[in-house]
Amino acid sequence: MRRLLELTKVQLLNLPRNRSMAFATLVFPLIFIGVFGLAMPNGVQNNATLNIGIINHDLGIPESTIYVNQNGTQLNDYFFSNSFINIVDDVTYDDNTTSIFDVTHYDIANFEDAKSDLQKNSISALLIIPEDFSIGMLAVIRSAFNTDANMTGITNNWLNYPNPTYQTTIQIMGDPTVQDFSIASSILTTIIDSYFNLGADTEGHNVLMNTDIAVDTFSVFDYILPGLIIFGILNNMGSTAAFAMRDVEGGILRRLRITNVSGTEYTLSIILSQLVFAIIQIPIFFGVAILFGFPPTIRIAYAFIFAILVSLSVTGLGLAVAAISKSQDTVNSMATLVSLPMAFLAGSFFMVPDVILINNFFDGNSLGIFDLIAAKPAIEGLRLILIGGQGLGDIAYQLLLLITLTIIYLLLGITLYSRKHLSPED
Amino acid sequence: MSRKVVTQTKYLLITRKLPVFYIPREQYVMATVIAKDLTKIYDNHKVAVDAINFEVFEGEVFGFLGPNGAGKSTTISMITGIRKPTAGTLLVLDHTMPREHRKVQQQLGYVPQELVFYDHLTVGENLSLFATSYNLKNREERIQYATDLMGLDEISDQIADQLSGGQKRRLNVAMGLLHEPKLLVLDEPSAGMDPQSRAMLWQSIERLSNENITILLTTHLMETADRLSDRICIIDHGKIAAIDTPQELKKRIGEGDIIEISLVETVTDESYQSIKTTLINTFGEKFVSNIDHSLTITTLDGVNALSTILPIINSTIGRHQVKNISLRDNTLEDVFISITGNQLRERQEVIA
Repeated sequence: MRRLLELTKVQLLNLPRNRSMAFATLVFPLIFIGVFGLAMPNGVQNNATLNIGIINHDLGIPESTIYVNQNGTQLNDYFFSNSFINIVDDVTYDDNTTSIFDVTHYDIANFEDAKSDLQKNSISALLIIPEDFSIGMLAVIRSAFNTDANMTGITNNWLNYPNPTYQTTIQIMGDPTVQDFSIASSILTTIIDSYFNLGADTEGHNVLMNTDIAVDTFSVFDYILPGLIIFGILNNMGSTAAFAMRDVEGGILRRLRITNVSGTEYTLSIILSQLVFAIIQIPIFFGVAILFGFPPTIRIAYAFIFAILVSLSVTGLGLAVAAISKSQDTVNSMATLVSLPMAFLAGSFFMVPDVILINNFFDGNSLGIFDLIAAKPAIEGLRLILIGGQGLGDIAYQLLLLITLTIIYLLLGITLYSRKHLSPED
Repeated sequence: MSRKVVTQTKYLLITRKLPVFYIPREQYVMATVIAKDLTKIYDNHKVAVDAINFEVFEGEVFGFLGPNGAGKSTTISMITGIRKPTAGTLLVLDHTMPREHRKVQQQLGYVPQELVFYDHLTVGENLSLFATSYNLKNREERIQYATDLMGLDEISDQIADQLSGGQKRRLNVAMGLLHEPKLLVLDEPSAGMDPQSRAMLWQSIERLSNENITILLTTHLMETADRLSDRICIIDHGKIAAIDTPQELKKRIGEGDIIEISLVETVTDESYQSIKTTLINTFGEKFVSNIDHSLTITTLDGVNALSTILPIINSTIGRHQVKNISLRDNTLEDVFISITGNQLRERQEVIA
């Protein structure tokens, strides 16, 4: 333990004594978030309204289903889609006046017109509400009351309810390479998640009936911030790999290898020191974001956990890159070759269509190929926390997936690095 | 320096995991390093070390010499456990390498050719790190010993990157002997040192040797190797070309003096070859060598030999054609050149 702490201290002393390290850790987040904040296409304070279309296929609650709200009113033929669409119509940016969406409502018969508008970029996204939207919502509500021991006295009046596991599918159509689509789809996804999460809450159920759901307002910068932060953290892969490679090329690792220092102690010292650097760096990312108008909130603390986990996974990959690189000259470009595609595929800037590997993988979430990039659940988690206003409990899937991937990345990095640089050489 | 000098031919091998050698039967000499058919081949075809056999005895200073690319660093990297041998057996401090390299670490000190320490740490912090790395219980005492020995006391708070070349070299050495190793491997420890630092280093090596630490030293400074080493091993093209005491090695190319004669540039190649042929016929081929228009003759009595050599030159090319004549004692460098030749090595050393 003493050797591990001493080695970690040695690595940490780089921060006050090594200018490039200090720059990478302290100044880079400042410049990175600052530059993006200033260079946003619509500016941070000048949020543009996005044109979207909605086609509503919702058939409402079937007559055979008896649904009673908290006032004892029986609501057959009730359309949850109406309250949902009202939210989409009314949601505004931070300034509380600028609408996020300018919504064109298409009749079902005019689907082709909607597609045509999408192709012409007259609208940037098309939201298709399915026939069973209200049934899906009822299933969510029932699942909430199923877990309520007292059933709040109203479930006895409910008949023919859908199974709590029933799922409905809402489609968002558009071109993933168009930035407006990425922004619109992300916001819509957040609204959908918020809406259904409210249904899954016994108290939220009452609010839902009033059709007046508070959805957090935000700016385009707020939307893009989670992706930016994760991209910034991914960028650390090069410095981590260079950090691990420097001791190889400088010969210090060879020299340490013939002392009692074990490979595990050495790699753990790298991981621990990088963790401390992340703990210093990530608040700077968020701090600069707040300076550029991101609303300060307690939820940033949750987001911090996601960012730290991504940093650890980046450390694992940095070690792996140091293992496969031939020299310190190539390590940075090698790291860029790994981190840049990861950032894009994970959706740092816009959503990329994924290929589903396992449907209904966990808690109703499907697992896609790109979900195996730790940055993706991290970005999703950050968006749900920072934009969707959800707590840690609501993002269990993203958190568990990120923890699992982080452990895998770290083990991969430790194994490859140890084999290449910490064993007697051939 | 006074110490027992042992030569390989006089040893009697006692069968044990670690062979024991002795000169008189009652005075055993343990081998700290034993290499048996030690071989290292890179990429399945580059033979860096070619089935070499040697022993380094306990308490001796073993000079390991060779031109660039001869296989010195590769051999050292196998002794220290950094590289795996391709074939052969290597016992270091009674342990098979590299399988048991963990057991050797606490007793093995290594000073690499390159300056290897953390640039951003102070001298004291670097030493402290290595004291911790070796689990030293008497760390403060050992750090003080190393700083005193290498003259680092006054600069222990300086950042390593800001030290002079000589100070860096001394720190490099100090880090290798913190943990009282039984075997200290010094790979070109004096490269880049100023004369004062070098003198301090050689004094330190003598002191360590007197403390019965076995020292394996590689250096290109032949005079130093001659003075410090109990035995010298010359390796070339991956094979051991000679291994013996410095005195015995010098006898191989002839005891006595070395005469070096430089001729003026206007002397033709034909005339030069004619003189060389006559000298070879007079002194023997083994004792005459050349670099460009300089001739080197090894002879027992240099002063008398000059009375033979000068008439040969004068009769061939006339008077006033000799630019310079020097007469000196036979040195280890002469042995080295004699054994390894005077051609520049194109082959780059395989860095271990």
